[in-house]
Amino acid sequence: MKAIVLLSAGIDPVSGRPAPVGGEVRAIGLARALGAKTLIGLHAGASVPALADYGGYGLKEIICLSGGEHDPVAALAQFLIRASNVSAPDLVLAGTRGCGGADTGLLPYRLAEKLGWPIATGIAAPLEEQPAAGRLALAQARARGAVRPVHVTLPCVVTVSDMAECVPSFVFADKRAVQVRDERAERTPQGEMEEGLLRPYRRRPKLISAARTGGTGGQLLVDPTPEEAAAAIIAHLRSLGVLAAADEASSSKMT
Amino acid sequence: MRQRSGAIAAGLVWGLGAALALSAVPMVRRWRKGQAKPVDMVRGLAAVPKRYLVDVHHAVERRPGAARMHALVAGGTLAGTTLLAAGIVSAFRNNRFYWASVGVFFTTAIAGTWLVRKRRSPQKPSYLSGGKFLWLPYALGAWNVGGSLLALGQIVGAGGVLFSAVPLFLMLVGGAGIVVQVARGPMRHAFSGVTWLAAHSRPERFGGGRSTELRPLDLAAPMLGAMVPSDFGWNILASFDACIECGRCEQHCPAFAAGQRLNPKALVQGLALAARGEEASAYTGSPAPHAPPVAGKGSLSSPVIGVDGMIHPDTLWACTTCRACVEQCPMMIEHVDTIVDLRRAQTLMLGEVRPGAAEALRHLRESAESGGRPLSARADGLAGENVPVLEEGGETDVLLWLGEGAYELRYARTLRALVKLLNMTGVNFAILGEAELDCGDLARRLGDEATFQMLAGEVIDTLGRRRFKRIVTADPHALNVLRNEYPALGGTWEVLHHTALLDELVSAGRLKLDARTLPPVAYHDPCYLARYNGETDAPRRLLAACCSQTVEMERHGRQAMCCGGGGGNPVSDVDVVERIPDLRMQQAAQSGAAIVAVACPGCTAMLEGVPEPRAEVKDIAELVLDAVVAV
Amino acid sequence: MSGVRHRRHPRAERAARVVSGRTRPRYDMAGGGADVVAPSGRRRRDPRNERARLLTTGREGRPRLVRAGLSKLAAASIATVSSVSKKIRIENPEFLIAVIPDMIDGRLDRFDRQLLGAARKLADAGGGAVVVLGARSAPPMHETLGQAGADRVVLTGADGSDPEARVDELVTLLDRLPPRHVLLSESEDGADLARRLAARTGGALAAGVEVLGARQIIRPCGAGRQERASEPASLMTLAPDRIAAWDGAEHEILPLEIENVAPTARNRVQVGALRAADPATMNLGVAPFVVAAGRGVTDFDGFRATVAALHATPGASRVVCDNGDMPRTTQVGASGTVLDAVCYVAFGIAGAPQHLQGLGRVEHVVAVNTDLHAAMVKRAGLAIIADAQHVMPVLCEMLAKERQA
Repeated sequence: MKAIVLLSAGIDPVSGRPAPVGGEVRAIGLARALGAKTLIGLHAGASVPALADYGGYGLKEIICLSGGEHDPVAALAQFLIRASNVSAPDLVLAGTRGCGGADTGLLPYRLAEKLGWPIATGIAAPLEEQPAAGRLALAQARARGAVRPVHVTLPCVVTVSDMAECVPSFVFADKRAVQVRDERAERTPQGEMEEGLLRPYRRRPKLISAARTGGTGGQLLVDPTPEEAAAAIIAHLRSLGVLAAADEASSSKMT
Repeated sequence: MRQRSGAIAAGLVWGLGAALALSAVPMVRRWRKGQAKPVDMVRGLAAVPKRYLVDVHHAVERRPGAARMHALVAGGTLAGTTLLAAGIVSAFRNNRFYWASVGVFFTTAIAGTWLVRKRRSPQKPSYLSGGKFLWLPYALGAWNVGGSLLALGQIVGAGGVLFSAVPLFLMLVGGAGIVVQVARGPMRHAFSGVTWLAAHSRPERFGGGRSTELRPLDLAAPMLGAMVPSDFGWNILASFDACIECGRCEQHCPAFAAGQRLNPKALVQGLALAARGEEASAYTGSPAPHAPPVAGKGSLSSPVIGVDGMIHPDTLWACTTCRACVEQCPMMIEHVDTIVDLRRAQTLMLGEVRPGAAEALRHLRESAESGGRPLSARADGLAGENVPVLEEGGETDVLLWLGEGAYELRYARTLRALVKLLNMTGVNFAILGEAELDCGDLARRLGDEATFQMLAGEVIDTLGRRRFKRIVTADPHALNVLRNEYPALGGTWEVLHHTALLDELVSAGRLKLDARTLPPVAYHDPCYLARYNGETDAPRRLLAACCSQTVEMERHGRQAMCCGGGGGNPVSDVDVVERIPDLRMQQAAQSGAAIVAVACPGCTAMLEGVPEPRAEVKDIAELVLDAVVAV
Repeated sequence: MSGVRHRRHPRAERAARVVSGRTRPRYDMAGGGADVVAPSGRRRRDPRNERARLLTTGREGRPRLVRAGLSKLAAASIATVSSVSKKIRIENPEFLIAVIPDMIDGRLDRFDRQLLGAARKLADAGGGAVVVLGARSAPPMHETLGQAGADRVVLTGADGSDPEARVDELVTLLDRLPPRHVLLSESEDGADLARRLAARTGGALAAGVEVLGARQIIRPCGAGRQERASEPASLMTLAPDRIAAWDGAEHEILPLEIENVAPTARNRVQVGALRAADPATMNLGVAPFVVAAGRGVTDFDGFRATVAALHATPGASRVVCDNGDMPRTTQVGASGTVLDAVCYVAFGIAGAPQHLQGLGRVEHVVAVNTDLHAAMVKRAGLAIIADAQHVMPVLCEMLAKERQA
């Protein structure tokens, strides 16, 4: 399988220093978990030193499309269509969203649309049972550790969840060995500019939900019998809804 | 007959010498497979007698009776044997005084041999190894008894089987035994020890000097750190062979005491066995506690660390780099350098670090802070104090380096006390504020030299853009890096520990203290201050000035036991049986201390993490602030 | 922005205040408890109204203001309003605001309500109506939707199992409406759907909007270190817990004449049913219900049995992990895992500061501890001063008995 991982020159949200984007690092891990034989990093824009960090996570080759930053979707699509003439990639992987730019997470969707490929999103891992060739079975990450199976037709675009646990280990020796190659992107007209005013982020308080402020408010039992204590715990957990009711528990046991 | 047995004995000695010289050949060949190191062998060899008699002797002496045993057995055997070798000249053989001398030396050696045997008999202590050691006294005994009998026969002029054939037979057997012991057994340390002492990687340590800084790695080198034994320097390979398995490192290792899968002796022996192509089963000492089994096979060119290798990876990450083993080793082996070299290969070449450490290293790479916390939040704990920030181009007397401990609420209390004292005494000081990055200590000890050099480069640049007379820090780990390790990368400053500065202020009369009536206070020496930098007096002077009653723990000063907080041990999720700080606080309790005085954020966090009841933990700065009567 | 005077649209305003249920048109000029929206799109507070909403009868019949449970109480007051059927009716809207809520199992959750609140803001600024696009497979209750501020409902055929077919259908539907703005939640499913829509239509997407007014929206970008302020976009997703749900009077759902679209399956992407994680093995950081052991626990087999009986995820204090009684991955605290649980039960944990840092976002804490003065007891909603070692087996037994019964 030939896989391409879309890379961006991200920044660390805390310090603002250049840093690889977590989702893209996980995308490398997922590509490896899927057993990709060829794995190439692709960046729409001129090469910057920070991209070499992705090499530390397991990429041997990174291609930078210089000039592609004006309209990344067009530049990436052109590159992929051209690459298809030689050896077509089966899979384009990306993080859920960039970190340091517009950060909308729209690019992989636009690319899939442009290529006419399906897109599977928020993926955490491959499923154990894989369907016949031409399709891929993936686990989509959902809140609280839940997953949804996703079957997708190849070639496809896959975005990788920030919750995915497939973070490859960072190897400095691989980072220094990575080949970062600049390639001129075909001239594309300037893509649409984002409108509005860009300014430093201002932290605003979130709404406080009723559920979070509410509560039973400091119930205290001093030296109860173990039976009283256990009954109080069970009742309390039931009132919070974290413990299934007795009949539910028994019925779920039976099924 | 009598004449002839004397000559044969002299011949035997020469034969033994030749056999020993031959036995060294494969050893030297093996070492030569290691990396070339610039070593001045001539000067080194010339210095060996002094190094043996002063430095090695000092370390050996710390175990009662060990020096006496060695003096008797090594001195007696070597002197008697050398003298006997001179018997090749017939003039000596006819001299009774000569034979008397030979006899005295061999008899002395017999006494020594008796002491050698007594070490492992009737019961072998756990820290000593068995195997070939168990019959070493008999080989030595045979050689020395043979020599004594021969000399006795020559003195009294007796011949016969008892004074000719029997001693010659004993010497032949004993000599053969000694050859086996040297060629394939623990006595190889006689030769490898001399070589290692001559070609030591840190010759500055001899004569009471100190050399503790880790050395920079060329990040462009094809192999970073040590993956296989031949990646080590040739002299380091000799140092592994020089290990005599005395177990002092094991007795002083905090990780071993806590059951943390590390035994420095087993580690060095594992490396020596791997380099020799022997199997791990040849090791007869105590293993690394609870370490999962490994294949136990190795060679000069196969990976040492790993389940398929000689040493389990967990062993590496249990080390707190406290240098207690190095401090104790009579052969002056550099365990910490070895562990860091092995870690460098694991981290830089394979990316094989523990998950917690990988997370910390990622944060260091990406946000220049081990917890991924904002750099601007470092000084939050000092918000209530008057703390100027030294901007680029600014100037001050004392630059206060806060360190990563500043993020913790507990250690911020210590820093507040220190800042109050500085403001009280009118010291002109400032902090770096948001410009202070992690100094790189953690990255370097975890083997991530690349991140260390990246951070160090930025810090040196930051410091170079500001003017100050000296740096003061309450973190001995930062102190060690700034003072000892940055010079190699181009940054040299005068760096002081806060206890040194406070001591200076007290002795200059700028700070007057009144000893308060407190329950007994014991000072816990931080490894990176005491062992790494030899500073043990200033904190004690301060404590004596501000507490009515101080006590010492049994292990203190340069012999102090580590709190368990160094070397990336806390972030490496090491599996333990007992916690190192728990053991240390037990020792504090045994000394009768109700307060443990600390001088390091790592120690504070580790010792305060010990469940109560335990002694109170207070930084010296806090104790000093409480005792100030006038400025 | 400033300097421009905004004209009021009296007719639209009047239309927005039509109360249904009578033959003659009636107007609710008091705003039905809702805050008045200023022409600039800023909500004006109406303190009197607010006070009236917060007022309940306390103990001994004394008047009491309840500020904490504002939305709960608001819902209750809406219910009373609807019982006298003072519904707001928007018959001829100036424009439409489309809302595509997640509506898991056909129910409006907190975020869906916030979405409708935002839509109301946009609609009420100019006499628009809010259209909810729901799924036919799990149709929402009209009453609930109306209470949340919706004016129209359109049901779509495709569900989430074939996202491409769903997008096809939604794009056709939206074409036929067509709304001035389309709002989705920046939740897992909402975020995905919004981007699929944006990619298909080629339009812009304002993602994760945190501040929304009729004339300006603000959304973070640049790794959360910057923000972009702009006019409301045609397609927007809203960050959770940023924009208040509608707390005004119930709206009446009126029928909407629109040609149905028959979804055609694409089958290139097929999404299956959600599989919940096994609490015993799930990642501690995302587990909803964590039961943890500290130094007060000595029987760890018993502890594990208790955790299993409660269908919870096991956690532990640092000392327990250090002793090897529980694996390191279960450690809760600043140096272990920081929890995001709904409920945390601490057996025999005193609550060292480092440990409590690990409870950052936990809503409910239950502590079982022998020490009345332990920090964990202070943090707990239910604190039981008893030996955890005695309580656990009884708890196990009671749960087992329930299961048998």
